Amino acid sequence: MDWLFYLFHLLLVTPMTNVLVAMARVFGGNFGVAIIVFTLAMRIITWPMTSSQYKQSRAMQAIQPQMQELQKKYKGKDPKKLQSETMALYKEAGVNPLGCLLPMVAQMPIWIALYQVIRVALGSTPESYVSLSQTLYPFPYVHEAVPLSTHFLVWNLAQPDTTFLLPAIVAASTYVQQKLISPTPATAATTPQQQQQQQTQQMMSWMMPLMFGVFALQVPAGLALYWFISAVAGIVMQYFYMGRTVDWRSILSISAPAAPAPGAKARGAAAPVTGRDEKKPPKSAAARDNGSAESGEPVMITGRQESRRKRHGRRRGKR
Amino acid sequence: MGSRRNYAPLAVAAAPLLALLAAGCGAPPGPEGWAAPNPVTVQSQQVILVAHKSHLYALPEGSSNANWQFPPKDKSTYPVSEEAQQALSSAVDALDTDEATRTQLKQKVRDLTLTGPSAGALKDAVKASSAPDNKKSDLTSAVDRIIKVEKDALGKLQAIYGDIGVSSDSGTVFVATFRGIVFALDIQTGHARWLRDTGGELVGGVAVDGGVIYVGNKAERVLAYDAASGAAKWSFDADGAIWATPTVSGDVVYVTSLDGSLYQLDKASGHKNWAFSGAQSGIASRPVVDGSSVYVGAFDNRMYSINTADGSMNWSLKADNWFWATPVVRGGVVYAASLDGKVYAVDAASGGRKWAFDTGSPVRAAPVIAGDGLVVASKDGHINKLDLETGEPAEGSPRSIGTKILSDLVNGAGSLVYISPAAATLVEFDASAVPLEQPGGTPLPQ
Repeated sequence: MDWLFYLFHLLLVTPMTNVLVAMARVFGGNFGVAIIVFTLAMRIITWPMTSSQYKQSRAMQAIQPQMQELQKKYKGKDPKKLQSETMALYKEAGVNPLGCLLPMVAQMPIWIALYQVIRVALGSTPESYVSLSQTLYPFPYVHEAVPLSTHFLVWNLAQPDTTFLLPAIVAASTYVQQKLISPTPATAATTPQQQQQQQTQQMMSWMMPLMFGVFALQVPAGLALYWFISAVAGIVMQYFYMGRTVDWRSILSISAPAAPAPGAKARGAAAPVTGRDEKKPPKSAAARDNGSAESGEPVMITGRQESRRKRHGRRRGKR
Repeated sequence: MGSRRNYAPLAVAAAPLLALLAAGCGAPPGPEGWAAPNPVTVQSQQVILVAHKSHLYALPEGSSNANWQFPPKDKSTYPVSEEAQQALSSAVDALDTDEATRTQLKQKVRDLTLTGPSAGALKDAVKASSAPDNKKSDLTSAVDRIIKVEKDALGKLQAIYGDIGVSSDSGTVFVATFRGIVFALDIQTGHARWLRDTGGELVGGVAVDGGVIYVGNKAERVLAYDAASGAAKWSFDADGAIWATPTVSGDVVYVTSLDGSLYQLDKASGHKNWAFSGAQSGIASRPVVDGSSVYVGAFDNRMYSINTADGSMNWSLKADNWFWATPVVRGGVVYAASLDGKVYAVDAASGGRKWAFDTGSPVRAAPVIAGDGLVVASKDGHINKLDLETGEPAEGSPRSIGTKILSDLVNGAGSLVYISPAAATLVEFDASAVPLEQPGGTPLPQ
């Protein structure tokens, strides 16, 4: 495993250290600004993966009615058929089940490396400076950047945030980002499977931000700052990607909507998007029979589609 | 899909945990310290003051049984500082009570220790006295406060990096701890005479001269204290953190800081005479004065020779990495070691390079001249002895002790060199042996 550790440092930690130290020098020794700029740069670099994640997420949600139909039809009766039909559905819709995971998995080495970079570059002990001297490339610009300022606004970037502010905003921004990717359904679940899924989804929408918040209490503030900026950048990117049609009220809603009255038409639109001529997936017979549009599942509308009317303020009445 | 969607958030939620776990495996350690040993003669006995991590030991030469260690293992027998005892005795004198009671209370003050029943016994005796209630309350509060402050100070020293100072009469040891507290200890017993919180972490050590000690901290402040009483004499605010021991020469004090400056201060008042700010990066090296020049290495990969009269630069020498080790000057030659692993011999007057030797590993420890050669220890634990004229390694070089060396080398008697490595050992290296022999070591008390 030593070779893996060596390669990790050679290919990731050392270059990142030098890039961040150089950036910090550009910004007058301010490592906090360097982290922000680095984070935004990473977001831009990983945009292809991120946009793919958005597409995958939307496509996944669009085929929810069909998924529910298949579950209802084959679950517990013919698992093999369920699996094969599910995979066929994925293929038809162009969905990669792992598509949602890739951006996060790709970020993990960055988090680990950044943690190491902060501990070495901003270490407060003399030993860490000796280590830093061996990490910097032989360019005067980085060698002469030391010492770096560990303070940014109210935080010591090398230490966990004692104000609890960063953990709170990390958790909040992660929550919003999570909601954008997986919004609250516009209609309530009507089947046990849907209810279970919605409950699990809601639990996860709280659990992940909470975990990030807790970890932000433990890690150096510099790493928490990275998470926060990364989340905010993701929110902004997705907002513009969706054509600025986010329903923030729905994003911030806590509970699932109440079940519609029998026979009532559902509003149909996804939580973040309303009033648009969305391109809905073909409804299954079962969904139509249920009397609720898209079986209560939201439809994420691409920002590229034209809207029929503009929405301003709170949505009222029916479409 | 519902089941697959459940996995994604779980994976995402677990990702930072994995990141933390992985990062924790390679995280650098906390402060460990690298103070150089200091051999002193105490009542005709050679004692080596050795620091290891957050402890200081007084080892008789050749023995691993320390006369004392600081902080002590057993705080129940460790008295409060002499200064605190004097303050409490003065408070007892001010009590309106009979002489016998005062005598009894003063004895309990002398018996007061950091832990144990002595504090309770003293307070009970105070409460039982006939003194007015307000005076009794003040005295018992003072006892609690002193115990708390001194116990807390000894509780978290963290590490000792800087030079260990010794008073001119070899009666007091001065220790600067990473936590920011300077202790003055009785050299025979290790008991505290006084302690001062400097308000910033201390990486540099204590310089002692003429009854005054000088120290600089990470809060950018240079402080001077009376060595006997700990009374503050003056302070000077630099523009950067101070990571090196000050150097006293004549009537001035030289201090380096991480803002890339070398300051010359008036020893008596602390006023700045001049500042050299020509370094492009921080200076953590201790300055060395020789004649009319002061030599200092910086993090901009340069060693500087500065004119002591006005702070102007005479010359500079460029290496491939930072200079951190204190240079050595002998016979018109400056010997400077760099974190690029090389030792440079430079003409002190012109700055011309005479020779350079590559040790193969960063050198943070200050070299010394012993056995007619230059003894250099590199981070990887290798010890080289180099010819002063040519830089050629002596027969038997290098020797390895198998553990990291970051602390400065120190001359012992004759050609003996003391080394305090990362391991809990005091290494003794005989620089006169031909060929060089494997150095011996004295294990430190556990």
